[in-house]
Amino acid sequence: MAIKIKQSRTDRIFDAVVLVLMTLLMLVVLYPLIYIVSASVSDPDMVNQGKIWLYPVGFTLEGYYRVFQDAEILLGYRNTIFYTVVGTLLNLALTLTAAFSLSKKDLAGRNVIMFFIAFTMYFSGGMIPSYLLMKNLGLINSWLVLIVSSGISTYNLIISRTFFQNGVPQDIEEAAFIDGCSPVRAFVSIVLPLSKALIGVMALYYGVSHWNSYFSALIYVTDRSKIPLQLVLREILIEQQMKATMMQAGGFVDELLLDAQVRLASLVRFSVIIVSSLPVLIVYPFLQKYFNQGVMIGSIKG
Amino acid sequence: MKRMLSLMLALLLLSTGVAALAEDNFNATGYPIAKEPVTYTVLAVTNTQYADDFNEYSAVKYFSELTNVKFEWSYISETDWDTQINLRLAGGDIPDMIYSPLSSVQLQQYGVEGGMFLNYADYIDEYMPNAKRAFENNPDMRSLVTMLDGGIYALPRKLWTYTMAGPIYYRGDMMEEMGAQVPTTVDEFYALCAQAKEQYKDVEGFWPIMTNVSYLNQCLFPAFGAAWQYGYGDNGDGQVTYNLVSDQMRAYLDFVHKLYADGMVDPEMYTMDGATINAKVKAGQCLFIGGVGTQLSADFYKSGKVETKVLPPLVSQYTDEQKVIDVPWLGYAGYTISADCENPEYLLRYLDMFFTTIPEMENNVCGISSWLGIYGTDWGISEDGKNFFRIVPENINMAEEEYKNKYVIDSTYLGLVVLDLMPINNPTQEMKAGESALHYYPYMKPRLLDGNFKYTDEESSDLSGLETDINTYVTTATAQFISGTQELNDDTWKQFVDTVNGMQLSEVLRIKQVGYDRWNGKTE
Repeated sequence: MAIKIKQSRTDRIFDAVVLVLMTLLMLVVLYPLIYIVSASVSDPDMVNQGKIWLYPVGFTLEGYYRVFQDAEILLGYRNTIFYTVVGTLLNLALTLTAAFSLSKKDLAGRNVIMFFIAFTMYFSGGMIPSYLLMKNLGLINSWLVLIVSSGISTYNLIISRTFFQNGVPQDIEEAAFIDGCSPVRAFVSIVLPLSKALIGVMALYYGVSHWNSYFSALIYVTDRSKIPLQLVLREILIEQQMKATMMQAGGFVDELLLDAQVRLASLVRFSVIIVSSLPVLIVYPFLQKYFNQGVMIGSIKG
Repeated sequence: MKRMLSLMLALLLLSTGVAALAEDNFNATGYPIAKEPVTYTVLAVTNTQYADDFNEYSAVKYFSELTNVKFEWSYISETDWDTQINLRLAGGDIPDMIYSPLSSVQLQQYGVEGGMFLNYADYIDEYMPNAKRAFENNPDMRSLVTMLDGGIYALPRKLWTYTMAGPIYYRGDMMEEMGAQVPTTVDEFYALCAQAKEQYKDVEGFWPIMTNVSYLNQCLFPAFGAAWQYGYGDNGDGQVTYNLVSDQMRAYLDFVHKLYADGMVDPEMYTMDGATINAKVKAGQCLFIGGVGTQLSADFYKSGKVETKVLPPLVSQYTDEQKVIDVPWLGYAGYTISADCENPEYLLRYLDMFFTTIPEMENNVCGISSWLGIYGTDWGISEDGKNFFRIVPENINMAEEEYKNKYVIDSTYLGLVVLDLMPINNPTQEMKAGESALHYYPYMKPRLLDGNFKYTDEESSDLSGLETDINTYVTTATAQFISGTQELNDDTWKQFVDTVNGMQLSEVLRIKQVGYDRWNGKTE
């Protein structure tokens, strides 16, 4: 039988305050989501007139219809899924192996290597030198550039290294070595199975960053067949803004045409936001249990 | 020794032969420009409205067949242009020609200082007779593209049509319903707004004036004094003047504050973009419309006719001269050629085709072709010579401009895009052109193109800091006066003027005057 603890008045007030604050916080987070969902299925004129607050007005699914008709959005979707899956696998392979090696105190030159890796957290070559480097490597306009150039995140590497140092008992590995296990075998058969929470969190971190990434593609990729979804989304959003400004400036252009484009873009804009965010929103609950376990991993660095 | 000599002679012969071959391939006059096709690599801006491959454009195909000059295109999305072009320039990674315009800072940095671009000034006399003539007839075009070193690293465009005005429109049907006359003075304008506010009080979200503040600045400011340009301007004496600290500005601010305070103008005029104004205009929520008047097509009106009209320039107790600012017709077209481009002469002659007006047209190509395509195929002129019309194939269900952008040519206008004819077959554009010709163009006064003046590095760095500070302060202060956050009286106005003068306005005017004199060819 459960023991019921009687709450004091202060406890109840505290709970009530927490409840109110959390509800407000939830509304703050939830409202933009609801607004975007409502706007994506509303008449664009109503959105532009500021008549949407919560519920859809002038219900229409044309935005979604247009999104799935647009070959570039579908292509972007395909590319983003590819970059996310392949990129995340590569990230995990590189990060986990590097972190495992660096977690070994007997690794020669460990501190020097760590110094150079940590150095990149604070100083980078800058955009133009990076561009020149990629250009000289022949990676411009290649899908490889979007995966290789972000192969390891230093921050994630340090988290992983700390986890391997503190989260996996050294005694087990040593016992395995005594039994004749090689370091590779120890890593694959012992360390990795004990690190599911870490792998889950890393996959989530890297996966979401690949899914949301657009800047590398903006700099290195001009081939339309290789651009990711976020870049398509960005173009739709900015182009609409530019057209709205042009329309306001008046003048040479056929304003009726701009009107059609702006209306269409504002319809598509919200639908694309939903379509592009949905996969992450769907995947998140499945990874959440690892996230809860793993988010504290490596929080004590060193 | 003998063998060496014969080898050298053979090489000499070969190089002369190659040169002669190149020379032979080039036609200095007439078409094709190249006997055998020549191909250039080109980098262009693109967007979702353009063709996937510019070589598929019917006009580009026509130009290529006519001249034998062909292009291998690469593209940058217009939304990424600023970032990517800077990387390309910094990396020295440029093709034979950058089709889309670079900024004057980029032209200075990579053209004048970096020597990366071909200097048109060295070639215009020999290869571009049309451009030479256009520059002589339109000195502003040359002033725009001539850098301080006298070099020209990009080509200009002069756009001039009857649909370029930025007026305030009014709803003709509402005026009729109210039994009102078109206002001629600012007082009549105010009275009409008040009448409309009363008459349409039941229309949800109705404001007599629906506009962004820039249209009020452009169209109403000239009604309150002798100046016509909001901001810096030449008021007719050849001197650069700042018109926003004058008595005219104070009278104007008083008036706009009255409009704002009495609910005559949508208070969101500082924040609304075109799409929002458009949506409100189409919901019938105003009488006067800033800028987007052509959004109201014939279907909108009960009569089935476009009843939007252009408000003529107003006058007041301060001036009885109707006036507005000139349309913004001058700009950079782009077409920056790499200094490493081999045999640029074909390209130069190709580009020269567009520095021609309609009477100078050859092979159905003139400057307008860079906008509308080929004469007789994509556009035409009525028999009486008063109108132009665009030709869209019957099986195409697209707006004229949409069709043009997708199938005929993109919108990088070059050279003399001058079309002083009225459009037909497009009711809203017909209205805009007809109304503008009557109520806008006759009252236009020259625009001071101070944004395009050329300055030395020192002048430029002094100017940019000072000008930004003044602009920021004036924009904020005027918004406060209009909204009433700051009361406008003798003390606050004097404080405003003193503050602007204290921000080294005289130094800004001095530097701008130097730039203006340089523009006019008065100094080196």
